[in-house]
Amino acid sequence: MTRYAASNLSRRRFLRAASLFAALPPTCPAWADASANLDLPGGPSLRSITTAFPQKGPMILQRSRPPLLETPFEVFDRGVFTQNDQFFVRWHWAVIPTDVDVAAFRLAVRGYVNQTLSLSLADLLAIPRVEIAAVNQCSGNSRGLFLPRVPGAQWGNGAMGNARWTGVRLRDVLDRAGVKAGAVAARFKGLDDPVVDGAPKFMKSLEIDHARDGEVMIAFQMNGEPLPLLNGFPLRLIVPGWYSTYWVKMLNEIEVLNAPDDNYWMKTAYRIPDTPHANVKPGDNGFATVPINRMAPRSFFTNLTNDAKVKPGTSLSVRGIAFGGDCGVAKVEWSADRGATWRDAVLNPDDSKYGFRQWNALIGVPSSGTLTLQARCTNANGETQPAEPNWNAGGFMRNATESVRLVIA
Amino acid sequence: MGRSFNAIAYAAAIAAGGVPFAIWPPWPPAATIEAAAQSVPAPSAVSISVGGVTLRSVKVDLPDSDRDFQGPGADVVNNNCLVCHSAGMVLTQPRLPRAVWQAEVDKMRSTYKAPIAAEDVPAIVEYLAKLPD
Repeated sequence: MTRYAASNLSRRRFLRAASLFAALPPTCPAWADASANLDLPGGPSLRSITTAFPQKGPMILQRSRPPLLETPFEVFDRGVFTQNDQFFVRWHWAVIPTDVDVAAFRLAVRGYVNQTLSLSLADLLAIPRVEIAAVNQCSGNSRGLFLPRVPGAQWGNGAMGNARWTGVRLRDVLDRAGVKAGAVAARFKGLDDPVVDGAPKFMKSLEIDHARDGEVMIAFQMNGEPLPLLNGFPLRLIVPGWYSTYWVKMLNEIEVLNAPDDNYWMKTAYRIPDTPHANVKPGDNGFATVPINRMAPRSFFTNLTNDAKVKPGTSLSVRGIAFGGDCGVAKVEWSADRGATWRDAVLNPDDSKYGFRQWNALIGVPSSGTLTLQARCTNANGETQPAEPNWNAGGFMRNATESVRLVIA
Repeated sequence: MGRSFNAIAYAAAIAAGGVPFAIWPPWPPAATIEAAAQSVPAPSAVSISVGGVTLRSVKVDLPDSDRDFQGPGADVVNNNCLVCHSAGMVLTQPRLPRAVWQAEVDKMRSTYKAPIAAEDVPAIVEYLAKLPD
């Protein structure tokens, strides 16, 4: 759980920069003093809180270029939808267009189709619209909590968010081009590019039946607003129930393929062990891998953080969020005795299969000592979060039960 | 205002073979100060409205990092590793075995085409293997 503390780290860096550039103003922006503590085992855990990114409020800074911005965890306690200006950000390559002309933008559809298309945004806005609430979660969300630690973006739990996505079905766009018999996949590219020639441009693909399932969509709004540029303005792909690596941002090209996609980002990157929970032991090899795909259920406490003080003998109001992964939430349970017994939490009414569900419980606080609470989610397919975390070298798909440690005082 | 990292021009300059990495862009840049004032882009005149949805052209500046690598041996890392990503990518990593850092640098060169000379690799791995210090 993140904690926030005034920190001198950012101020020291700022002052060092200032000493090299004498023309800088003498005042220090307020944001330079805030930091987050992600409590990662073995560290480093401190991250600056930045407000320097366009269309974004305070974000946990993992990397400036290309941006990796994590959502401060208290944002998830504000409601079931994650506000756009604090929605997490993750880019692979640094050549990101910062100037998008809506009149000139075109979405190309080409490849194994009857006719190629070059759709303007006006064309897309005229297609019948759909809206879906769905959680967008980075494949490596929570990677910083892995033990043993693995390289990669060292996220806490905040590389996720829930939004209402408004747009058009991918199926309707593909059918307008006419998918030829024998098509195998649809591959997606965006406007971003690598810095260095020859590096693999980021692209992902879906099997053609999945692409045409009617739920996969192209969004031009999130939570009723155009997408922030850093979340993919003007269009991004929405793949409900699947990890965010497929949710290509600044989507500008769809290529229908008649052979399996062997590009680096499908063939080598973003692959998980083909084992239950994508779990292997450090040092294991010889196992098959598959491209990462469906999400697994998760649940979180949102109104309590570690070492918070609670009053003895009182009734504690506890709340949080949960999601089913690739299907809805069936139940959320909590335990105060390290998992020996579990009780049902109350789920807020909600009919979204792929979004966050809010849950709450009233928990009796003992008269003394510490109180460790756990939460676990079971999804509509009967899959329950495991107590023990999984492990793989990529740091993917963590979904073990979360706990919060409270001090009775 | 603010100066964002003009990666396109930078990549073009590298392709032309003319830019020594240590010279441009200078580190750390001053853009973070001005960048704090520009989280809301100016509204654009160019927009498309259909069926109740309006999309407006957007122009933003992305801030640069104010971090670089410090201490003995940092120059070779600053000169090679900041071409594609800022220092935060590296400075947030946990302590990792030397072999893991070697594999990461090899991946940067072979897969991600990082312009790192083979003779610089040992010094880079040496520095990384000591992180976080």
